[in-house]
Amino acid sequence: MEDVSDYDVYVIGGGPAGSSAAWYLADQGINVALIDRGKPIGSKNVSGGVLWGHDLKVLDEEWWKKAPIERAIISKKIGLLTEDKAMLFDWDFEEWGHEPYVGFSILRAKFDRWLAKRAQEAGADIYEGIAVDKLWIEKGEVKGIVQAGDKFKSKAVIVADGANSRILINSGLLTKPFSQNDFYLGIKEVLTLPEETIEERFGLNSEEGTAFEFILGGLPKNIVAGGFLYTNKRSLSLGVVVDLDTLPLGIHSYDVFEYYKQHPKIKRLIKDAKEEEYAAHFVPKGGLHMMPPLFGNGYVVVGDAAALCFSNGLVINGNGPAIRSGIEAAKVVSEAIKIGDTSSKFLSKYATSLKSTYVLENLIRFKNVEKFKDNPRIYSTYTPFILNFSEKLLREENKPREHLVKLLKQELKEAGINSIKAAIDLSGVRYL
Amino acid sequence: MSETQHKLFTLKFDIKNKLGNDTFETDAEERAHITIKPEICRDCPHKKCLYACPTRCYNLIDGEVKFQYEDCVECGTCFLVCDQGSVSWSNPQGSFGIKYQLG
Amino acid sequence: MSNKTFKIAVLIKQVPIPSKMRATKEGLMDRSVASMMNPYCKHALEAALELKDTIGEEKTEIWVISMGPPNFEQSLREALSMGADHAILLSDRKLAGSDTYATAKALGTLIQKLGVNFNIVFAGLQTIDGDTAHVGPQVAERLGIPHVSYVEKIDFKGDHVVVRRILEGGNITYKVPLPALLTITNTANKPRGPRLKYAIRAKNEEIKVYSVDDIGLTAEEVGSAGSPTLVYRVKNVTHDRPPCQFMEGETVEDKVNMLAEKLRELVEASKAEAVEA
Ligand SMILES: Cc1cc2nc3c(=O)[nH]c(=O)nc-3n(C[C@H](O)[C@H](O)[C@H](O)COP(=O)(O)OP(=O)(O)OC[C@H]3O[C@@H](n4cnc5c(N)ncnc54)[C@H](O)[C@@H]3O)c2cc1C
Ligand code: SF4
Ligand code: SF4
Repeated sequence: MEDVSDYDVYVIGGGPAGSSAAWYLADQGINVALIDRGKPIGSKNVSGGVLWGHDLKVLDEEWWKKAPIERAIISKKIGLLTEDKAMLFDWDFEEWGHEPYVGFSILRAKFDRWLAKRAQEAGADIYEGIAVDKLWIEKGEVKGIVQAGDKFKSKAVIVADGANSRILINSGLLTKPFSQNDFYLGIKEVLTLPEETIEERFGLNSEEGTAFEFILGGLPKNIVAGGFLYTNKRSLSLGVVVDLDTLPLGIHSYDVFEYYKQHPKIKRLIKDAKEEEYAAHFVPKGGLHMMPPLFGNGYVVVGDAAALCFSNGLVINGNGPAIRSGIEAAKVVSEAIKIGDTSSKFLSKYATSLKSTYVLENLIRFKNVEKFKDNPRIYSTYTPFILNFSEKLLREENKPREHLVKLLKQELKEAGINSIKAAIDLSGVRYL
Repeated sequence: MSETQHKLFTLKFDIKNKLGNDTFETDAEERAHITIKPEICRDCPHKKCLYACPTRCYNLIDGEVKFQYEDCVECGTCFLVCDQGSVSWSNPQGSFGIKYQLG
Repeated sequence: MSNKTFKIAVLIKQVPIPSKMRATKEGLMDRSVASMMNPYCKHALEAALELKDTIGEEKTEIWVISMGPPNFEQSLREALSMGADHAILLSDRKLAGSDTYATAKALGTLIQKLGVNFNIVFAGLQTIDGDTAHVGPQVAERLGIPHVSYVEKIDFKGDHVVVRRILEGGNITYKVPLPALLTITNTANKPRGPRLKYAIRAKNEEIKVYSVDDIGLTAEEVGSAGSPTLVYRVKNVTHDRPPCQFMEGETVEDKVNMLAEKLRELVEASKAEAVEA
């Protein structure tokens, strides 16, 4: 088995990153196998999820007409929530509702199965329900993969096994071990609701969808967390992302989710919806500090495994970057196979080309975002302050009113906010 | 208002009830993909796994941390919050474990 | 053929996935829906694979054998990717409507026709679509070899096996000379997943397909014509999941107490019912 090679390229993981890579390679006539530990493919995967953008256009000009998408996102709502208050910014963009569209809600189990099938139709061999152990490395060179102790030779390997990449861990290819500070824990539930009810409740036409994202402020012990709600065809995707590092002893991660779910604002939005499926998955905080080497002799790393997930505290965009990085990697790998050079030097072209795409550019440009979004004062102090202040401002009590500035000063003092510190903290907004 | 009166502390629900909505293909116990070392847990100063695991696979029973692999959704949290070296973590054997129907 | 001296046959059936199961107008199982390897057959295959591990891979050969429409290939390939060596499918329209008698006749004839002297034959205890548990034992009768059903433990002793058969409220241990046929329970083992080495091989392995003619039977001997069983009437029964009650409580003890209380109530209620009746 060791000296015959069945495939030129093994792709480990059939999420958006891996399947896009396999699809591209198969299109190029490369002998490629896609291996996923889920059976069927997609059954391990979780997103919020909106798939933003059209990275798949490289593979199919009209991909969205064939893909199992739920709804086209036409409006976006961003809000602040405290225990008993809510504030929401609401945008409607008419142009989002027309071709070519900007984003679609998706359910990953279905979507990923479709994407892998497209790769298969293009000529990739698919192996489902098989977990790869690690890369087969000899003298600093990746020779292939190891599965159940058996070695499989190939010319190149694409590592696409997602956040918490066991492949990189088991192969000793991380620059530094992952820590709880590198990921958010995403907790999500899909809730079913009739199509008409969704459209009526959220003011949507058929096929149209909306996306909510919330900062969860004023949580005890400075917990940093955000919430989301996306509309699917016949269900809602409701979830939170929790910064594990800030999760105190005594509070369960799922308490944060349940608290969000029972918030009066959310409760109204999900009224009568039936619990359908509960899920939890890591979201890489993304960013250069946790990024493993993107390439080496005989291998490249794509998608969440490479921490190529963009999150500015309000949106998580990992599906698009996963697809894009998969395609960029596949371009370089297919060229490498054709000219017979899969050395680290040649494969470094992948990192170079990623830098010229939004994927890496965003991570570089926004590398300070974390400072802002993980600043606990945003969640614990300012969010409650803004909501309390606006409540006083908006309340009509038919009694003499305070001047705005005076009220503000008074409220700042009461909330114990140092305005200089606040100015510095909030200047972090510029990182968004 | 004191922090401990926050709603987060007064929620009434059992996360285990939700797991009935999920599909699992449970592997044999001798092939459990996660194991812990009870002697390390005994002396653990924080036991954060009890709180961080989204499906409460870690429980304190008669003062001892007990682990239950069957309800694991393979998120990876326990492996990272345990800084005591108690958790051995691997993917379940292919095809086994959580099977999301929706994701 | 080879130095693989120990030959194992495993009978495998593909069944609709339980949530999709339904009957056609003719009263036959609708085979057009999504399907999977019958769970009990998977336990039989695992028993065979464990035996192969015991005896040694180089000395053992596993043949998986199935009868059904061409899409049964899915389960045969799955069996190959778990570690079976050869796959055979008996597929013919003439077989449609076979009852357990005709099925066993066809499978038994096929096995004899293959000309492989199997040392042991495994079958699932039953299928989850037919639930008869007849086929395995009938095939053994056709082959003229001993059989034990409901087997959950097998000790290989060279020329014989020692098996444990489950019974209501206990079990019996038998010493069985080989060749023999065993039907395997779902408590026997935990089937393994696929392995890449075998899955790659399975992708290219030819699945030999036999027709009724090939095994020398006639249309009258199999299918509905060859089946003494007559289907009188079939009814599709649908039922909702019974309301499921969770025991809620702060501690395990609370929950167990609550459960005990609930059970006590149920017992009382059924007693009262019995008295009324
Ligand atoms: C709660 C939550 C909400 C999110 N919301 C959004 C959103 O709204 N929009 C957005 O764009 N992104 C969102 N993301 C991020 C997005 O889901 C990820 O960035 C994206 O899934 C990354 O794709 P990937 O292909 O790199 O990895 P994954 O999708 O994780 O795929 C990895 C694949 O590898 C397989 N695998 C793993 N290990 C092995 C192995 N050893 N052998 C074989 N196969 C293996 C797995 O089965 C899996 O199929 C969200 C994430 C979470 C958790
Ligand atoms: S955190 Fe680690 S050592 Fe501590 S109780 Fe949990 S598993 Fe054990
Ligand atoms: S991996 Fe996640 S779900 Fe599984 S035991 Fe660890 S924390 Fe719990």
